[in-house]
Amino acid sequence: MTTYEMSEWGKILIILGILAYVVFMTFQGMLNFKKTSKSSEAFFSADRGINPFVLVCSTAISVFSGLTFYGFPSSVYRNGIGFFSATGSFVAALMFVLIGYRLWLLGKEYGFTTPSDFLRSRYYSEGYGLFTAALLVAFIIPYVALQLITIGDGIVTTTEGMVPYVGAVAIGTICIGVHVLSGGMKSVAWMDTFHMILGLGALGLILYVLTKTHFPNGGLAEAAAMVQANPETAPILGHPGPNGVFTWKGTLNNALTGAIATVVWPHIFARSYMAKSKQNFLVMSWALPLIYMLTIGILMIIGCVLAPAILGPGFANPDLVMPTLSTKYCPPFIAFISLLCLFAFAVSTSESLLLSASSLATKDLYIRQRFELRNREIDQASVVRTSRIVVVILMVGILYVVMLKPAYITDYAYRLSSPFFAMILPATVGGLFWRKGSKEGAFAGTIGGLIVVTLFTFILPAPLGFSALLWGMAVNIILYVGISLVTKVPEEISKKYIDRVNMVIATGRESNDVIDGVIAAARIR
Amino acid sequence: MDTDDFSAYGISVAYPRDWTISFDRRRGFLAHDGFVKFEDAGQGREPQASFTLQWEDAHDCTDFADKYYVNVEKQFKKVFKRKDNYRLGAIEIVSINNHKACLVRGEYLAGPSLFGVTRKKEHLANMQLAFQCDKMRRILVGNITALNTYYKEEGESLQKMMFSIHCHA
Repeated sequence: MTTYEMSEWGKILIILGILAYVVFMTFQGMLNFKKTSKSSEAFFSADRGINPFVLVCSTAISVFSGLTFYGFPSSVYRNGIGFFSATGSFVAALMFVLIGYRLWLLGKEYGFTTPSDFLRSRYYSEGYGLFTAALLVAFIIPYVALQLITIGDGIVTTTEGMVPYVGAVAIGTICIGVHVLSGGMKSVAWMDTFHMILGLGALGLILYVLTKTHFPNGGLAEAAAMVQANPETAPILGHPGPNGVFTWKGTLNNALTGAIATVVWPHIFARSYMAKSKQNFLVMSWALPLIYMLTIGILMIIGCVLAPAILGPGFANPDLVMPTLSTKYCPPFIAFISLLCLFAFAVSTSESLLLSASSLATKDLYIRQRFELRNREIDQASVVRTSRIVVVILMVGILYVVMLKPAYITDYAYRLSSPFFAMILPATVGGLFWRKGSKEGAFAGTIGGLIVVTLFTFILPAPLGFSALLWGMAVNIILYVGISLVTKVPEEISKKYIDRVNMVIATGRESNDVIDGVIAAARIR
Repeated sequence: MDTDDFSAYGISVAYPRDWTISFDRRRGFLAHDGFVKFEDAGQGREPQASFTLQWEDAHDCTDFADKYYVNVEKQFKKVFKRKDNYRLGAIEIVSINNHKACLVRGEYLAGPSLFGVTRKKEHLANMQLAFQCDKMRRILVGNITALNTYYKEEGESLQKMMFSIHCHA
């Protein structure tokens, strides 16, 4: 196989390219500084004016993190094509549409901007709002830290150590921190669109260059035939995979996480509130699965066909499959493109999660407790100022975790964050569709589910081969439904959060959109 | 229909006594930027109609009613996209409180579910009244949306409610 060596000049050019990217991001963020300084709705929810194309790109790229870009190919290489089940059959897109639409209507009606806003109001419980906000913030921090670690490792690998780990992390931190601080969600959403196009384009280019360089005659078919012909790599292309992971239970466990956990990740949940119109959700229903398929499809092909064909079986460090392929087996320019792709995936997820953590910490943990509940006023500009301070505090906490770089962080962040976020799903779905969903049921379900997930992640093996998430979800649903059936929900809650959404007239918002448009037109002329 | 008076910042309107009043947190409620919604609360059945009243500072806008007359059809097209999603009836210049106003009557399809699977879309009757008050330097727009069946029964009362808007004391 053709291999490439990175020259010193090549590394310097890559570093300059990264710096140019950081400057571009900082500049783009600053463009929105003034616009987002006076209103928390502008800062956190982009004034609820995100058009369908931007929302689709922003949602997709926020789901795909640095772990996706490096982790997907390495997981497929290690455990086989069954890992494709992590897309959850694109059910996440359908869930976003069905749940997100109702959340959007409620968000417009009652001014919600965070998951806890809705959960606190729907379950008429300050305690539940506080509990869910704290839970979400606690598990966002390690996940963002992991993105920074991925960025750091990516830069170090690509520049072959010319940029030290500390410097690489500093670059990632400045990128993310300054961009979020300056422009809030307005900047993040537009940068996400750029990142999605960059990421997808870069992936396509990497796939093309790897195939053309190493299999110029037969292309992917030749590579796949090589993988099939080698008895050590052939299991990658089948079930249950080289290590027997993807039995039907393993596939179900993997699919469940991708299918149901994604929609209640705090940064994805919050995107429901940002849509401009109903049209966003109609477009999302077909566009999001399409983007999923394109992105994951390319990563899959790299992991199950190109990686085993080029690297052979038993590659020493499967976690480095992607950076190795793009640095050693591609021209240096592609190494840079691959790094940009990593940035696209990791930075977008980090920014969105950081902004979500900031909104939860600012609005639900600080402003709600210190001002709203004490009937004290706080103006919008002060809310935004406070949020920016909270972003800085969160970044310091995240950096502390990054510098420690504990060995177990991947386990902690990835194995726990996703299932923990998923524990608010039954309360969210029940809250939107079921009149009988009560405060007591929500508390019991969420806490019960959390205990089970923790138990089966760190203390005991999950029984019968099913994942901790599945067990946690089962216990959560049983407790939520069971306790709700024997407790009462105030009538005004059902009217407010179920009937109002069901009401035909409430969705006659279109006429108000017409009026707003006419007023705007009358002012221009 | 028994009515009560709602009054704020010199703006008043008579609304049906059994309707609920709500405000839009995002739009504010100030003398020169306000939004209020009145809804037929249902009383054990599903709500049938709503009336929103919004006002803004006129700034340097002039001939608002005429501009509304010219632009409203374009905005209907922009929002509803397909022609069979809406139908515009009369758009006429009328008078209210000695101000020139634009009265729009129309109909459009709407529904709470995204794909029309759980609940079908229904035809909603729509009436808009837009005018400018030069004394208070405000533009005001009243907007009534109602199920067609309700509008056929109560259309006259709804129109009376619309024309009960006063822009200054």
